[in-house]
Amino acid sequence: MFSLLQIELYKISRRPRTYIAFAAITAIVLIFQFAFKSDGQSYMNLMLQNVQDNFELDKTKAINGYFMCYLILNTLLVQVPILVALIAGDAISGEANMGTLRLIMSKPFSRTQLLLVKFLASFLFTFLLLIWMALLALFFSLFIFGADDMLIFRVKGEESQILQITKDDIMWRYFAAFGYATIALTVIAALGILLSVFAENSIGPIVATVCIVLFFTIVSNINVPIIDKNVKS
Amino acid sequence: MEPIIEVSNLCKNFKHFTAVENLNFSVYKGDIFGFLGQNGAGKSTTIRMLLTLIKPTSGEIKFFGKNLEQNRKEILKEIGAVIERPDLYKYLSAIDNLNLFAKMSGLKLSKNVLLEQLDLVGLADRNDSKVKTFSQGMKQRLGIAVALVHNPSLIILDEPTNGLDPQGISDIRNLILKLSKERDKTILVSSHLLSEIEIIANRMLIINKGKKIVEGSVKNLLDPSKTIIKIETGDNNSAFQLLTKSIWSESLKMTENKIHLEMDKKEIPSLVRFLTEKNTEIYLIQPLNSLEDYFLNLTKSETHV
Repeated sequence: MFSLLQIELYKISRRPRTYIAFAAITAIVLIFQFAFKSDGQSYMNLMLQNVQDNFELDKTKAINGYFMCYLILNTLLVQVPILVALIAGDAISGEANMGTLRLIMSKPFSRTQLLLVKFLASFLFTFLLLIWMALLALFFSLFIFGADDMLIFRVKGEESQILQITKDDIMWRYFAAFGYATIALTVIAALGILLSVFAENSIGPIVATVCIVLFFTIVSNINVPIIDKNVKS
Repeated sequence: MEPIIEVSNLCKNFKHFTAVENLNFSVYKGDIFGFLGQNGAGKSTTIRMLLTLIKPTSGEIKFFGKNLEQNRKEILKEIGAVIERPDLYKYLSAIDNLNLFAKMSGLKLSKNVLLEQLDLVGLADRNDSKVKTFSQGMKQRLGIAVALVHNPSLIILDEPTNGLDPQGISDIRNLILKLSKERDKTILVSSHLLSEIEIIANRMLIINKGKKIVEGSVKNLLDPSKTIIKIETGDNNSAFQLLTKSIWSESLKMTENKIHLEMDKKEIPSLVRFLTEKNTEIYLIQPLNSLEDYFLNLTKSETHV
């Protein structure tokens, strides 16, 4: 079983599409960091224009590593599931499309083992992707921008809110957020593998997985009482 | 002789279509067994059942005397296969593909051993090239190397010369013969070309529309002096019983209430004498085409369609 997992990870590591996910995340995060390092104050002025008459805020400290990570994670909310779907949706259907599935299935291990190994490999890929995100978005941002209290801008109903979280109270929240993201993305990976069982090319399962993610993301953002009451609860 | 594969009453139905019907055959140790049939005859379906890719509707498959369903893992360790096309990981090199499939069979082989395997199929000098740069013939040979990597005693090749140029066909043919002679492998090779099977196989089975037509040694089945004889008598059942005790009993068959048997044309007078001595009323004794003509007709009718 372990050697099968090794083989699966080796195959994932040798496919160029695997690195698309890592390259895309790296590019997005670096662009964010570069933009905010160069001209972050303009963004802060825009965000705080309604409240700066009432509050005295140190804008230079507001742009810090924690705030950058928050901003990046919010931006990547939809993109990261797509990257996971790209790998998981290809797990079985990709082998069927290449014709290697027949060869694998004639080897001395069971279908359950194969599915389990595919799932574990997709989970490990997801986990590594999140660690890479954490390293870049959180720790590299802290290295560039430093640590300080974090300001969060939210809109609740007709009200705009600013939350301030002290810097000592932030790191555990990020660990919890990455833990939650691991669970959520593992569910998406499992969904991708499930759909890939029914197809003989990768496009169908990848698109279907992404559509399901988009559907539920949109539904969860519709603020209509009937949906709040019946779907979200 | 020790049977390596024993197939009994094998059937496969897909909804309203019967792909394989009551198939029986045996492959013995050291055989190059030709599995012959036109396209759509049920060869690939049978091979898929042999490799547990699909489940039979009914019937039993035994390898090395053991039931396939109950001893799947143990049996598959002893089988190497190329199924339909030699599909491998195109983004990996030849040696990486070989190493990967060796690991799937639980083996850790050194680079030298892997290179030896590639040398056997004439690909040692291209070991580092990615499979996507290979010709169809090279992929086919690499597929055979993959099938051999765990040193199985039985090799199953599904139409291994499909899509190859004459040189490629000759290479694969020589490789199959070499594996049988030098490495003592038992080989089941399917094809829709009688000429192909005639050259490499020692025994063969012909199927058509999922049913067995004939099974036996290639030499006997393709003997030009042998002819299939159709017999009709006043009481076909009694005549059939009589013939089961005759020298022709081995090739005797009853199909749609008609007696068929295979014999040398020169033996027809003896057959007539045998039946008349037993007071059988003979209505018809008709020599049919030879097996070769029969198979060529099948292929011809397919081409016309």
